[in-house]
Amino acid sequence: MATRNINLWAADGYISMPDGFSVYIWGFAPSAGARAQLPAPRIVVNQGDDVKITLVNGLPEATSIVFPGQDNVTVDDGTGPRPVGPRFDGSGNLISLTDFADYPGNPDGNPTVITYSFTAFRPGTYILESGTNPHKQVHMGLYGALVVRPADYDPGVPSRKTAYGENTGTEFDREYLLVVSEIDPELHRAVRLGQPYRIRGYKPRYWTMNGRAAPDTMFPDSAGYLPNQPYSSMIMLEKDEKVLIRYVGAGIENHPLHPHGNHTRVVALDGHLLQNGPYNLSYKRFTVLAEAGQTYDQIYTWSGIGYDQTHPIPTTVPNPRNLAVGDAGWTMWSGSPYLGEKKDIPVGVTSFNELGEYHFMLHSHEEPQITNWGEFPGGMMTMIAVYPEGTLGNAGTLE
Amino acid sequence: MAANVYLWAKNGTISLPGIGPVPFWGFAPSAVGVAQLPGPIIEVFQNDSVQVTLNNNLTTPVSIIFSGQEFTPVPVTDGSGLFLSYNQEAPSGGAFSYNITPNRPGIFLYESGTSPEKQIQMGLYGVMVVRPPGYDPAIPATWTAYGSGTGTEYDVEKILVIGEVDTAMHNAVTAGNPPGTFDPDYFIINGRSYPDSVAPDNNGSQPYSAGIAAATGQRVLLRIINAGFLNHTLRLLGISPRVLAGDSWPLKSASLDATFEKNTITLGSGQSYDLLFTAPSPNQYVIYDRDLNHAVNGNDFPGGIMTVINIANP
Repeated sequence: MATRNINLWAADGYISMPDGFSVYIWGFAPSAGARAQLPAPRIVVNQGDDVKITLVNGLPEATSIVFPGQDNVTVDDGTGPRPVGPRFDGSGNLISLTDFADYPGNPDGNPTVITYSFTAFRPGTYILESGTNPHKQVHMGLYGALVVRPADYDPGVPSRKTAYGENTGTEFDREYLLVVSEIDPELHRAVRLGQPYRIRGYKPRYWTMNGRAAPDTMFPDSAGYLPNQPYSSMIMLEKDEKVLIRYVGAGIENHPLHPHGNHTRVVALDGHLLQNGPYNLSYKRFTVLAEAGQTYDQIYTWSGIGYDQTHPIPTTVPNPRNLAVGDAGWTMWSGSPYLGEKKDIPVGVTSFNELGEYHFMLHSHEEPQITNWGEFPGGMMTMIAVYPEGTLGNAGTLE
Repeated sequence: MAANVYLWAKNGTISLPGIGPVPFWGFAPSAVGVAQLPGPIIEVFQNDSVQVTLNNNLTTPVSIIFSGQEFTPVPVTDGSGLFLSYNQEAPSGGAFSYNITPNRPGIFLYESGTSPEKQIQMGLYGVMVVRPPGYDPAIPATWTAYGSGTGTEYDVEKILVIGEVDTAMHNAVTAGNPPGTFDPDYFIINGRSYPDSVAPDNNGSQPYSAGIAAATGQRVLLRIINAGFLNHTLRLLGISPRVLAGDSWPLKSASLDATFEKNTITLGSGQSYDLLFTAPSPNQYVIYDRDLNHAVNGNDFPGGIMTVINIANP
């Protein structure tokens, strides 16, 4: 099995909300000197890999990473590996849920670079997040996701392109990772200015998927105008495909997520396959409550419900003046028929419903969460785009 | 078997990190004992005829309801039909006896059924443990949560009752004022906020430690029940327990094993889960509320709903 060396720099930075608000964040950066991104750089490893994650602390206070669902995690701060555990001060008071990297210039001369190691012994979807002042640091953005491929994973063999291994009922054609959370700008402002913050006043104004609020959720990966929010939440699929959607609840609220159209089958929780020997415990849901700090793997298939190329969904194409049109050449939604006749596109828009794809929502059913500071639509919402068969190529592969 | 249980509803004070004594209402185990948070653990056997006698030393009527038990509560209404209580009350200075026959093992809340939005928050709640047939406290080999053959054998058992304290409401109610809008400022596990949660058992008004000690290889049964009004999400780091039962309904039967592993679990108000794990290598393992705003005291981490599992060599 391979050794996977991953470096994460704890740093600060800014993210952008659709209404123009800039949010100061603490997060993990993918390279030295880079700004923090939200969520953390995605980590995809294989079952059995020795995973070594080196944390370089560039924040003004100690920070750390906990790996819920991983067992036998060790840490090495230069003195040799030892099991991670909660850290206490000289008086016996807990100061961190796990071993931490201290801040640069700390008066004790503690290490500012530490390496966590574990063997990715079980496939699945896991959260990783700060274990130091987590009531502040996790909210500030020090969170992300870890995906472990099963040992027999082979994307070239359909029966082995799975979330949990061959014959586990988790085959997929495409996969998407949605890390959901919420943002109280007042906390971020207080941290930026070094001011006190009252926890009981927690009041989120933005709800995010992969660090973005709608409609930005639908922009492509690595969109240049969202430099620190690199991950799209747009779900693109073709009819009858098996689509693996991995939810990660990184906030402290519970978010009832559902796609329109079809139900999902929940196949794993917190990286544990819902299978007990002969008993298949997977279950279908229309709405999955993505709860704080937990993960949910689901298989979703859009069945078409009687529609296909020769039987397009009957839709009246609205007047172009009534369409929501992105300024980046990307329309947010179209109302155009699925595989039907296309109409004129607005001036200046170059990729309007290019292939006749059909869009519908995946969103939090707690409707105040699909707003941006009170304005609908926004927040925890994205679109599922159904493409005509054979047109989507390689989209929907996590690297 | 007949089991007679006596509870006294009383005033008392509790201690929370960083603030002085906080008044509360709780159940005491004797006429001379202090009120407790949570109330005394009531331990009975399945199919016992249990009589719980409530003596009310408070100045307001109190009742008890038994969540998860099949009994017939008798609601109390005023002369105009306005609902007053889920169940018959012990008047101030008086007493009332409830008879129940627990017909299944597990852990269950007992709590006030009178102005519960106020009285439960004031502290009038506790846990009743119903032991399965064959359980003998003197013989560890008989220890199971749900009976022999149910896959619920254990070596170490810990009951964790989680909830919240709204100190402003406590002060207001004690002063005879309206309780106000629920806005808790302390988050508790066995009536205590971390670091008090890991202090040993004592004879005071918060007698139950939430600290857990086990030896590597021992089977540890965590019985978590949410007596609060908010949802709480408990997380274990470095341990992935198996969920054996929800609301004391075992997930394993003759025809289906629906137990599942999970390292983080959300409990709605009034819900319970039984979790089982085998103690891993010696170390300290933290359990904390992943609703991170409940793992604080005031504005400071750590605190609130958090405790530590100390695992030592056998």
